[in-house]
Amino acid sequence: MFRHLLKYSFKIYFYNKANMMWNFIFPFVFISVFFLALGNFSDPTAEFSKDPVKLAIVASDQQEADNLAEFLDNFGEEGIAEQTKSEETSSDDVFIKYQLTDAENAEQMLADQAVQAVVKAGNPVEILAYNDLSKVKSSLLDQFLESYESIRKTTTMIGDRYADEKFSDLASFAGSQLSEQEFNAIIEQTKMDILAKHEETVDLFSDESESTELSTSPLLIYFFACIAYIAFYPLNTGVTTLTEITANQSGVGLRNSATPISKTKMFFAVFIPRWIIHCIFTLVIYLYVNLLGVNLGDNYLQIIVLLMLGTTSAVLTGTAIGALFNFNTGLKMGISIALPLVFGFASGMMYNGMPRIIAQYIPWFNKMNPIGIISKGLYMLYSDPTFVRFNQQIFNLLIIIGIMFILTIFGLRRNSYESI
Amino acid sequence: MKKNREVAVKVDNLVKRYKELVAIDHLSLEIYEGEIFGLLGPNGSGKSTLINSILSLLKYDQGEVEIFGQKMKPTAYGLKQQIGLVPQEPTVYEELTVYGNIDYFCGLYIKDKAERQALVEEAIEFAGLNDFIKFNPSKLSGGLLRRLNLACGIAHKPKLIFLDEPTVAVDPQSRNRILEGVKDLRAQGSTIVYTTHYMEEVEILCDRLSILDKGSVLVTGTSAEIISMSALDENIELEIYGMPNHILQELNDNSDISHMDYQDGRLIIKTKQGGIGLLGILHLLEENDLTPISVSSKKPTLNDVFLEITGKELKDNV
Repeated sequence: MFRHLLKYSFKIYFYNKANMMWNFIFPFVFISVFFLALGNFSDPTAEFSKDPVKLAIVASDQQEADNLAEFLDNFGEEGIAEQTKSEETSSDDVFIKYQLTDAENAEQMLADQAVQAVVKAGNPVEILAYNDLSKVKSSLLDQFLESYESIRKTTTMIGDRYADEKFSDLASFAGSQLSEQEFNAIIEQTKMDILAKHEETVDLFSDESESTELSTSPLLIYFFACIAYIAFYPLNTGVTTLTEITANQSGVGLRNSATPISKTKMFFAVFIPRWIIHCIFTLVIYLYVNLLGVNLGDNYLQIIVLLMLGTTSAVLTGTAIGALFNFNTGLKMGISIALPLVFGFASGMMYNGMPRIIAQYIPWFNKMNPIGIISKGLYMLYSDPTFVRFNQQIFNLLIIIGIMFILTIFGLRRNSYESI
Repeated sequence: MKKNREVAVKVDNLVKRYKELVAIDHLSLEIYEGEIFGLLGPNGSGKSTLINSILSLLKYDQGEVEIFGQKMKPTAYGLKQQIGLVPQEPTVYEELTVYGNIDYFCGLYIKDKAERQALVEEAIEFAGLNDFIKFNPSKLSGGLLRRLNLACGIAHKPKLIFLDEPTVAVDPQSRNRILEGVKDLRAQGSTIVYTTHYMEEVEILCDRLSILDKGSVLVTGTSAEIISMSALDENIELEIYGMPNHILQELNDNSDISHMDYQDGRLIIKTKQGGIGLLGILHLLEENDLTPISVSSKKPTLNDVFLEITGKELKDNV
């Protein structure tokens, strides 16, 4: 009987023209239009590479300045003259041009708009002043400096460890006394300390700049929010699932309720096929996005898991709305359309500054906004060297899924048919 | 005869309130196995609420419902297995064909595929839908849609069937087909609870009926019993000239006659049911060598009784 229900649930869902239109065709159209409208998704750093950010680097310690310059050479080159080697060769790898100078000259260069930012190479490395710096450039500059800072901290930490007890160990084992195994153990321990330190730094970063971290790259935010919106779009499927099995929501709901099938069994039989369909569809959308040449990053498995969980949270949010509220189906459908739009808007789908504004005034909303969580998860995968913050988003989604599932079952068992 | 029959549905002292509004007011009812039982009542009288309460789709405040001697509750799946529901509005899936719809609903009761297939084909035959099995509901006429609705409710051969106004807005042919089908179902041993606003359907179909109003049963019995229980008069009209005064006086003095009028050879009499009646009047005239040119008699109908009992004001305004 369960198989019979599963089979027909598939059929009913697939043969529904409105579903076809809104749940399967519309997302493709939406993604395509978004892609065409904003373009450059495939290379969000394009703006940066065509017009590198120009920096003046000042330092009280020449060694610090040299270290930073050496690091930045990996992403750009020294010299801020109009015609440089990279422009001659049209290299796409030049993101930064810098000039080592003193504070006074740097200030003048900034005033003359010869450079866009002044960076102090020290402990810590920091941006002293900037002007005319777009958010995309700001985002990547932050990323470079953060990476540099991480390396600088690592170097400092290793030095500190040798200066402390480890140094005396090494000294006592100077020459042939330190075995390779013991040396490797020290290095391993150091690596673990660095990792712990790095995660601590990441957490601090997360706490301190929650409000601004997603405001740094408009194109990325638009795009991630758009994908997240599509993953969360099947909210209406959850609502219609409940409509079909609830006596006071539809005629077929009445008829289904009068049969010798328990409500829970009926729910799962109708829910599971639709949930699977939408998870697969989300995967198809992800493949389509890749076909368009959009680069979401190389963490394919994590991206798929994130999107699947996002879709699951959407369908279950819909079932919870369907099960908990007794108002008419039309209103519920309205909510199922409006809610993803509101969540999408709050995630920066229409205005990239929204996540920052919301984080500033109603920070709790970001933690319960599934589209924001998916969007943020994609961003973390793209930008973070570790999965720490991504895992946090996965955890948040799992909490939402759990709550919505419990609410659905509670609503199903509590509901009684009301009619007069 | 009634006392020898098993009770299929027993409703005892049922109360259902919606805040201050009492939808079902201490209602008690017994429906016997194998009968077609009519539920009559104006809009808002509580018919649908009663059916939904009986089916445990609706939580009621007080009372008990038993079906085939067992207490009915939402988890009484064994009882639900024996019940068929044909809702007022055609409730089928637009995405499925005629065959698919009947197969889907039948499959919720019948697990065995071969058995189900046979039942579905029988239901298609029963509803006269053979030529439309591959049609989607949107392609069906109103009458065919009602027949599909009926087929979906009875395909699994339930012992107890609730038919909620199954003939609303259908053409006479489809209506006749549905009524004949209902009789066939009774002949096959099913108990049928039939709600309708069409009094003639009740008079043709139902073995017994209850008239409901404001959540209470006003009267229960056969059509004839209910008509005879009413205080409505039989209207007799005769065309007869030269009526002697003493005959008119005799009629006027008869306690069964509540109203009499004689003008221009037209005698109009209203007489109580079971009283002197048309035969008594004709006998009196014959004794006095009087022969009427024409005679007509109009006995109260179920419709008259229904309006008398439930009131003639527009119920939708209540």
